[in-house]
Amino acid sequence: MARPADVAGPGVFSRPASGLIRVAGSTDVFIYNVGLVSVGIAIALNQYYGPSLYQGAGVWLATLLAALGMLFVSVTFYCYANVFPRSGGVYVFLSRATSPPVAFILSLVETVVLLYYAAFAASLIVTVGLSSFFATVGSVAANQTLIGWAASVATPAGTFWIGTLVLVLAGVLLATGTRRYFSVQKVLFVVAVLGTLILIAVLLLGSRGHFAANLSRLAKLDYDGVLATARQNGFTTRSFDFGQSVKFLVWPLLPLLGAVQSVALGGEIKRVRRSQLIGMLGAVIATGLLIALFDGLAAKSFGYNFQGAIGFNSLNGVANGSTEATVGAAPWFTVLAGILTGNVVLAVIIMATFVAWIWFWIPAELAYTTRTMIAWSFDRLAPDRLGYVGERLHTPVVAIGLSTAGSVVFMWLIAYKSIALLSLIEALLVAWGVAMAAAVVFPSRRRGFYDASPVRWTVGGVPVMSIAGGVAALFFVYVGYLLWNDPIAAGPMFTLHHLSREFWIVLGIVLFGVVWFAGTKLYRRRQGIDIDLAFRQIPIE
Amino acid sequence: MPGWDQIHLEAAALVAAASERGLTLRLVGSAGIRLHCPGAAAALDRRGRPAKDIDLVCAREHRKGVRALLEQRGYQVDRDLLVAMEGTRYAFTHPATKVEIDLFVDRLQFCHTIELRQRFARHATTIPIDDLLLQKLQIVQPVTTDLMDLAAVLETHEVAAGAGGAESIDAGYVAGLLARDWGFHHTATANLERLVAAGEAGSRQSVAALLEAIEAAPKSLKWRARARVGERVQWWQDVNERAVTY
Repeated sequence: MARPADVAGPGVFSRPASGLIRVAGSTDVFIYNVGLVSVGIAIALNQYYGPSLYQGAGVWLATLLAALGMLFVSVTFYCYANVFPRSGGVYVFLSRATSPPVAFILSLVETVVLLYYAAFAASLIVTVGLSSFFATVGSVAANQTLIGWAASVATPAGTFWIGTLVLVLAGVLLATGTRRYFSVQKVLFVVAVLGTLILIAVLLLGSRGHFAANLSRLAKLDYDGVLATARQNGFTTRSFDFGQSVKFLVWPLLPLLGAVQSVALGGEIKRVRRSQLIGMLGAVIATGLLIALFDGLAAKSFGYNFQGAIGFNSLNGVANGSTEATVGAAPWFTVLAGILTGNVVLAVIIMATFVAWIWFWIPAELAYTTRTMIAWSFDRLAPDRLGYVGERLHTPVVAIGLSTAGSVVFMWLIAYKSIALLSLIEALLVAWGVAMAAAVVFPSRRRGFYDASPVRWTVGGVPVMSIAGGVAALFFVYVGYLLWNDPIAAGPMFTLHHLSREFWIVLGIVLFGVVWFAGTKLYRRRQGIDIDLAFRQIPIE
Repeated sequence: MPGWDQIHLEAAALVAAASERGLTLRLVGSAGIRLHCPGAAAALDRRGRPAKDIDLVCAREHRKGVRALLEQRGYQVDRDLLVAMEGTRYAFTHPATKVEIDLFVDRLQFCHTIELRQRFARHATTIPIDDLLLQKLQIVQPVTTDLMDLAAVLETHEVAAGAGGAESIDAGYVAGLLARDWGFHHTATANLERLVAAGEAGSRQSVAALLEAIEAAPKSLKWRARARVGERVQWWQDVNERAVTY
């Protein structure tokens, strides 16, 4: 007979008489993480940049390698999430596992990076999502108005205003309550999965010959001509190259980092052991396999070298070699899939599916940063006002508003200043890498926390948390090395001769964090509050 | 830890103050049972039921007013729960008296959910005795104090076929509610049988009458479909410790 998971045993007052019904179940957690992976963005980036700029790379292999590395990250975060079943993400773990000021500063960096990525996703909704949607559907339906819209929405003003609208919508959704947020995400998830299944069917049934014919009819491009044009402009083809595959893994890794972000919601999750297991490890495995599968399907229907050639032409502005001139949008995977169908209804479904996938990223990212801000507030590191709950909506409207406003600022920078802060990802890897490294020594250094947790598993006498943390930390170091040395994906944040924008941003955040933490500690001490006490607190569960 | 006398006085004062302001606020939990009728209070005292906190439920539209009332009386809201529960649940503590208050909104959500919005008008101080009973029947793994409360209610209140006076349990209401929800039915009947097994002689007659009414009530299609699945699938909502969320 099943027994209640969290209801304590017999005895007076041993039952949680004032117990809580938490909001998020395992399905919600899984959807939250899968949404943050944003399968649509992953496939779009993989298939656009992989065959074109990393010729010879097995996109599928790179994806699986990234997923393998993320499995160790997810096991480590899973252990943390069980030791500290609280909301607030990496900040909560680092503040209790390392030094509070280090935790605050790194989580401040993390928050800014995630707000940038929320804005980045909103910009992708416009460029990869809507612009491609109008262009492809317009081309398939021979509708010049839609094709015109494709160009209009992709302008800086279009990108900013539509992106901002999307960000504000995400903020409003969160402000209406976590329950509603999860309900909306569930509905959209079903829509996205159904659309993805249709897309898989289209790719399975569609032939390369059919695609070439549609390409000629709808995009006025000759299949072999695209390849020839690319070759004339310096594009070279390579057979499968393991080294290129490894080099490319940083691209699928970016979306896959989202698969563990339910760590932000720890305190709102029912049956943490089960839900976080399904949510984190399940999301890494499911999305890793799905994204890798699409590489095979794309190669079957479009051809690996063709994707490389058209991407190369697009990225290098080669005239008559890509879809921009005729369809009105870059040859993102979605555009090619829409051309393959040659059918308005199917094209609409495919494009809408990708918009839905990209959408997931945005409110989830804002939710993450909101939880971190509230955790700062409750630890007295930020003003009480940051944790203020509005009397009308009963949600933390100040934190949600601040997160949304922060991402709108990045939206403006992306739209009008064309700022692509790619190497910010390196700062995120440092923040998470410290958490991974801290996990190695956590079972011995924080024995009180660890011994009270349900994750005291060992392999050969060594805690699983330490093993997973060690491997994950090394993985992040290697990925950091790849990113640092890959100017396409990110490039170095600084060199002896050049300090990037991202470097100044991160330095500014760190300095701000140091001053803020020191000032707050002093201010609270004058109020008679010792903020260090919060970091020694052992969670009640 | 405050004693029953203090809790009793404070609970009654709170409901009265809310009523003066036109706010719908009712007592639930063991304090609710005590204040519902002197007989139940005496039965709880005989069993040595220790004092605990004050549980209240208010109408959704009166949340703001009730919170203001409590804060004016010196209670401090639990900020963590305030954020985590998004207006569906509040907790307060009085720093001086140490009295703790749990405030629910429109319904009680534990292992099973009891909707109360349409039930406020039936009693001026507490929720109706039927719902006080259901509140104890919905616990999947009751502890000693829950069984004490359950026994006290059933020992001091007769079971009537329909809605009788304020001091009789409406078997039709209880049975009708359980006939729509197999999970709740399963938990509730198990608890009634547990009470019999515990040798609570005073409540035996009421338990038998209630079980008979529950058994006789025509079950919904949903109930019958769920009954076929039985215990193979969890039939209650998980209730977590009220731990720190952030």
